Amino acid sequence: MHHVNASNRGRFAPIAAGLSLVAATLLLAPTASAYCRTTSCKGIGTGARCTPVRPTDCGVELFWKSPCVGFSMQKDASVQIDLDDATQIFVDSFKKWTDADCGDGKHPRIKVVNLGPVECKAHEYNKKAGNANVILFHDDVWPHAGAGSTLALTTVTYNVDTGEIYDADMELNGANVEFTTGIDNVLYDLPSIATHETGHFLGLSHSADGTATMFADYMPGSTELGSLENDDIEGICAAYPPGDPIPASCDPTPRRGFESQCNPPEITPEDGSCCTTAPGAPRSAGGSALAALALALGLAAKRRAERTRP
Amino acid sequence: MLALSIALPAALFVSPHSPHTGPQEAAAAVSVVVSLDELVTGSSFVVVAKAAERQSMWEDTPNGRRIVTYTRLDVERSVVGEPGTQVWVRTLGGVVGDVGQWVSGEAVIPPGERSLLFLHKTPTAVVVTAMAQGHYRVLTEEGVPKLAPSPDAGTMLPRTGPSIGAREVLVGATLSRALVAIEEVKRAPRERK
Repeated sequence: MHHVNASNRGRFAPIAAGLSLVAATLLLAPTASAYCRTTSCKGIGTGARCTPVRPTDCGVELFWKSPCVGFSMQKDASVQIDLDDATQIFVDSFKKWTDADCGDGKHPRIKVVNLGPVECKAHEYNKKAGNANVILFHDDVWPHAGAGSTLALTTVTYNVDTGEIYDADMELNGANVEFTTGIDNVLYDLPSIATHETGHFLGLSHSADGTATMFADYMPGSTELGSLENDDIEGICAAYPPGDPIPASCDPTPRRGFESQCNPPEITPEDGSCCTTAPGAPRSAGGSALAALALALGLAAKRRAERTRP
Repeated sequence: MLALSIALPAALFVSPHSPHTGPQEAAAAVSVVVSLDELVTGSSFVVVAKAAERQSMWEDTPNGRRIVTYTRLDVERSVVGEPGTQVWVRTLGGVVGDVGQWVSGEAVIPPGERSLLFLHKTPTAVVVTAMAQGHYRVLTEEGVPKLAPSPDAGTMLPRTGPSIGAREVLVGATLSRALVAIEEVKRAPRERK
């Protein structure tokens, strides 16, 4: 699937076509090492800290505490792109960040694991129940303001004191936007948008480097954001410095446990100590996440088998 | 219907987030720049107002349970519509207890701050039209009030064609000039009839 069609998505297409003429010029903007990390600025809200430092820098950086983090596609994906393709795009996007070369053959000490599809088609952070870091498409109606102008939106939930990220969900506007995935007739290149958004998922903010994937402005018709630049690599290596190998036993279960359904019942452990557990502590020691992973692998194998049938 | 086949000069696409001014606050939404015409026609109210107070809370929405922030605006001047002297505006994200929620590309309206706001009335709340693109801080430079972008405008896709993005018109403009531009947009549909 390279080019997807939907009659109600024409609004964005002419814009992209015209802008492709100037995209190349604009992408050659001046460069400078200028990566920024998203921060929690107490009493203010969300901010950023940059290298080099800016006058507006504030707060503590947002970060995933565990070196392995799970994500899940919503099982319906989109009429524009099926679950397998959408999942692969985001797997590849995360991999660009986690495989970044920090020097001496070392990589950022963070791993992002596909925990398989989930039922819940909504952003959710459950303080007292399981969660999923979900990526979902809204194909019918964009539920937020800016339906005619917003392509994608990420919600990050975090501890305001420590900056620890508890949950991150991405919503994509399939109702109003025509995404493309190939190199021909590029409109809104989903791999580029995914790579940029996954940078935010990992705690990076916008860069002042005009060539960086994390630069604030993306040019329609371009696939340039699909690859990381030096500034992006410096940013992710600073956020998750290389260190000891991530053990195979590392548990990517979301905070309070993996949950596929919306609005799950609250956890009521026998000792009544719900929600005083350490941040990131799994509800079931990773069992549910591993089960979901096995289910996802099974589903993928099933789909592959179906595709090869005559 | 806008004719969008002619690309604008590249200079028009230099955004408030360009290397010349550095990035603003953290953001992750990806949006297409909206025109001033779209902002005005899509808004129930356009006001110059000062944020008086705000309250964040968890709220069940059709798209899940999330933190929202209600900000009370003291209306100084209404340019479009009649919202009254005060209006509560709902934005996504905020801080409740020790949990913060950042919704990329949403307007962030700190208490005490004066802003030009494009507001849209929904069945359940008044929201900022086009999220952060409908919020412009009023900053006074050498005694002259000028407009600055919302702190978290997100990733912006430039637009092309004869219609210029609202931020190109409003950001850096004096408040009085911006109000004139809005009045012109208000008059334009009537003049076209």
